[in-house]
Amino acid sequence: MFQAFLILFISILSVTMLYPFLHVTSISLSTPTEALRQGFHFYPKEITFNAWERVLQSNTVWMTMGNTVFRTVVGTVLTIIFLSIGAYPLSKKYLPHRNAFMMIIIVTMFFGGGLIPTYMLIKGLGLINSMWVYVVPGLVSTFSLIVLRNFFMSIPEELEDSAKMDGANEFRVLFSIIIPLSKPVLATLALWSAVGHWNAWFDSMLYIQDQSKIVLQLFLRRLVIANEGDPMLPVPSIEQTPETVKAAIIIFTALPILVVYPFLQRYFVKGVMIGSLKG
Amino acid sequence: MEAAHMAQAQNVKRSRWRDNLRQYKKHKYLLLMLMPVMVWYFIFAYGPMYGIQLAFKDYNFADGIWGSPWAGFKHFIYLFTASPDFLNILKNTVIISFYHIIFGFPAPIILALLFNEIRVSVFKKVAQTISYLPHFLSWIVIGGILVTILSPSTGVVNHLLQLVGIDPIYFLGSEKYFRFTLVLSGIWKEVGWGTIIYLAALAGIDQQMYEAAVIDGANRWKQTLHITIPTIMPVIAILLIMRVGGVLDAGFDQVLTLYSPAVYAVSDIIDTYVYRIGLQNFQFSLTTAVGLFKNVVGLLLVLFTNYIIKKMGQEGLY
Amino acid sequence: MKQLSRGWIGTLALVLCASLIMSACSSGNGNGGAATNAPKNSPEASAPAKDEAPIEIVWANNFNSPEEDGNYVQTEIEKKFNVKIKNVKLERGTWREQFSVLLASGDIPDIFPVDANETDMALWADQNVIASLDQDEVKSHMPKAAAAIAEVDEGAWGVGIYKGKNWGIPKLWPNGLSGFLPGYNEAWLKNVGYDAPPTTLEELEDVLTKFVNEDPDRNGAKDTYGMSARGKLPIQMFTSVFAAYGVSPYQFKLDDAGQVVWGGITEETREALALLNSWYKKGIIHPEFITSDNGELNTAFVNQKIGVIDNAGWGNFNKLSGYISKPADDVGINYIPGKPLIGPAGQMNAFTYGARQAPVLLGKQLEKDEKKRHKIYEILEWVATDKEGYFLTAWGQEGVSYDMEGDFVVGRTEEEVGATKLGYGYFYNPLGHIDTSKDIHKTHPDDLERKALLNEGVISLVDVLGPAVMETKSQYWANLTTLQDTFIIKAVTGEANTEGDFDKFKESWLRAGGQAVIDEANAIYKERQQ
Repeated sequence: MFQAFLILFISILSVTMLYPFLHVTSISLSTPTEALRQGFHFYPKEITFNAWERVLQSNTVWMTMGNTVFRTVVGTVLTIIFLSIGAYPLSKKYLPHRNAFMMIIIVTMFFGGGLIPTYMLIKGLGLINSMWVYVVPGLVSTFSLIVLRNFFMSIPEELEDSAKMDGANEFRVLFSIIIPLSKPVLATLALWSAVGHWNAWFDSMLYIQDQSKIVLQLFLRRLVIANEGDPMLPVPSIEQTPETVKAAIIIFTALPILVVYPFLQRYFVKGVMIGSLKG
Repeated sequence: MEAAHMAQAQNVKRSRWRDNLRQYKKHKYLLLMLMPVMVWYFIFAYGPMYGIQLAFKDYNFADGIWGSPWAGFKHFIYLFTASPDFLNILKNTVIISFYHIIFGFPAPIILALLFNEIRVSVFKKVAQTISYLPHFLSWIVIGGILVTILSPSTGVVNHLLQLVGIDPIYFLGSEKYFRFTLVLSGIWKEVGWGTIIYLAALAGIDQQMYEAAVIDGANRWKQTLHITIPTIMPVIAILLIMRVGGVLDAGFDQVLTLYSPAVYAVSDIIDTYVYRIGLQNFQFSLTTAVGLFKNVVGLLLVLFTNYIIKKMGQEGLY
Repeated sequence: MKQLSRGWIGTLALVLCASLIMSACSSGNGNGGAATNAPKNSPEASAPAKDEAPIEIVWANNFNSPEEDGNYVQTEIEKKFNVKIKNVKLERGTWREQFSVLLASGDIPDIFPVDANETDMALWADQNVIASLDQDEVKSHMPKAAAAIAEVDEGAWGVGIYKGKNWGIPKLWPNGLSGFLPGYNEAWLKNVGYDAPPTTLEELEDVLTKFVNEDPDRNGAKDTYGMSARGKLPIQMFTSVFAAYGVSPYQFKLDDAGQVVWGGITEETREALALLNSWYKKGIIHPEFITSDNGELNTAFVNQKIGVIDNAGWGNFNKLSGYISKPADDVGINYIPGKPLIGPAGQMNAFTYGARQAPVLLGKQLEKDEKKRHKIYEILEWVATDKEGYFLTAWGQEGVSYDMEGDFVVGRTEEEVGATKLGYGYFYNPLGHIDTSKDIHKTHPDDLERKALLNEGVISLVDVLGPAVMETKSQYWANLTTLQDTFIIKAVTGEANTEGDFDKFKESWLRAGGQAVIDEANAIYKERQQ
């Protein structure tokens, strides 16, 4: 039966995809000796929480995570708002100068000034060392904007017509009709934005000098790269980060994002366009 | 005679202006909505854009971007001629990228469709969540695991191959198999995450259409062909157009982690090559030039694909 | 169509507008880089000596950047020298991007990051970003440092010379003069009949062959190899063998006529490759060396797949060393050192990276600011050679972040007194390694003993130039390295032979810019000799 083969195939695929995660988790819970053992690591032979303790007990981890949470939440919410109010007008063929607007936007996907001019701009705007540098410069993702716009274009106009005939203006239409119909796509774009914010570290490194405002990823990167240098040194006076701690860091970073799937489930409601397509 | 024509022209101009104003008034809410976004683009996307001239200049800190001397196409020429292998590097980039697009673009679509067919709800949710996992691990982590499992002597993959009578293959060390390994592992890593947007599109399909089709006697395969795929076509189309813009990005992180001098000949891409040249220098002009080159090529391909897609009846980029 | 072209024109107009406006807004401090390093936050900084106002020093570094300003070490230095330090804290790994935007906005520090290399030096010298320093002045203001340098490598003074001027204060890494020593699995050696590590190349070959054929790990299976190599970093591959021939394919050396030649195209390399190829054919070399990095080598040794490691130095034979020693110890393997093998070169050669590094660079503005310049010399000398300054910047505060065990320093590991909290760990001591008299504090007496023992009689194979700015390098180096990396690996596996193919390689290498590089190397060598 098709279902049987399907489930078998997906199972095999899932196992391969699950393995690296198990591998790293297992190492994070292993003793340093065990961590170096060649071969598979499905589960730790002896569980030790040392590595996790080091990660979780660090004050800096929690402080920087607070910053990351701020940027993820505020950044994603603002992004979704901007994407919506940007994509909707662009999806209407009767928008004046629509092509010009599209050109302006598309050009930015391919041409950009680079590191130095961007830094100068951020500096000129006074965003250096400000938490807002995490949110504002990255507000609009052109890729997402275009995806959303094209999605809006596939929503039949008839759905708006009745509301418009009742005298609703475009804001109304956008918020009460279009957005509810776009929940799955918006949820996806929100997810992309959130993951982007969660994993970002480069802007933190470049624009933030105040160490209390850096993001989690930057701090964790430092731990992983820290003092990685000359293997020829005898016992280094400043401890190198052991493999087990590096493993714990990797899992720690990825975990919160995985909690997202249940979130997605709520918005991927099937059949939201019931009755929308006729014949 | 002339005066009459001029007057006519004036009238036409004035009425065009008036038409425009009328349009602006009519759609004032739309324009209003759009303004914040356009302001953002103006400031953050166009503000720094003058930096592109760096590709044509010899940048030095003292003169800044505006003051640095012009260098014409010097950096592009350097990029193309500094290495006798550049043609090969370009070839690698294009080949690897095309493999990624040809096999890697449809993969999430197919997987999304397969996920859609699973009827055991719990299994479906678990499998989907697991499929996102590889996306969250960096290539450094996955690379290490790959080296181990693909080892010709101790790796499990070759172990399995031997069970079916095939000799061990040095996947990561042989020129013959490296690209294949690269592309396959790349697809494997991203396919799950890539399904999300398609699942979102699938969620929007009217269930009643399926019910109607069943009544008409269509089996699942026909339903997929005539209902599912056409409905998610707009999403597929726009994603494909934008995907081809990255044709000269062949996956820097992945290649850097997995390649070695033994396989440079088949896997050295533009980005890894630039990385090796630029490693020692603060070569802004060169990096800007390389970026510009990649983007121009990408743009051309995007415009071309956009044209084709529109000819096929779908909405394109503009 | 008209709509479209109007669209394009409109776009262009907008682009121009936006860019001009934005760049005007933000480029206020973007130009005239070198001269604008007026410290922005301390108006008293350039006050004359009369009222002894503290001099402000902008201190940039990327190693162990302290978390906070006003940390313990910083304040101690400020008190002692009557200076105010403005920290520029950079990331270890990605400091270049951070630093470049700072330079671009005209914020040129007084002291530059310690990881800057000679290419950076040349670039910045050309762009008037760093100061040229008079070597005699440096020597007279930093006599102890100069003496320390003279003890290790007087030639270090040549590294900073570019376009006829000197561009920094010489920096050394003396440990770089200790070379790679082969290390063995002791049990394996015993099992194949060797009570002590091999001393000659022939003995090594015998040992390796036996490692393959005589089941040294006694597990009943023929699953072992003699040695592997770090295929991902070719300069470290098979150093024990190349050294026995008196060469490193990745170093400049002097030939019999006193000319500088490139190791990779010499006859010694050819012969060494021929030997390695024969070993590969015999199955002595693990074929997966191609994709191996240190991690894989570590794993292979610990899991008893190979019995020899030849890219480790004396420090790695401390039982707590994370590379090989400790992991091996944890599973009961005794990793013991051997002396470099004697081969056709007739002596115990060890590949070393050499002690020379790019010098510590100072900002351009210091060419004119003599007072600050001298102050910096004073501080750097104090932290690098004076016991009090050294201990402060290397380890922090006694009784708080470290304790003494005789002469040896034992650091405390609590997070609150960590390096980045107190400011120690060499951030304020970029010349921190030049003074070998501090070794007794840095290195445990046992390790010092081990070092002396292991390095006894060993001749270091050092690159005859060390870091050197070469115009030809920036042009050709990446390709030459790729060419060589690829060939060497093919020569070992046999895909390329060491007769005709080697000649072809040599020719391509020379043609692809190698000849120009060698010529320039010779010129630099002569220049430095003066």
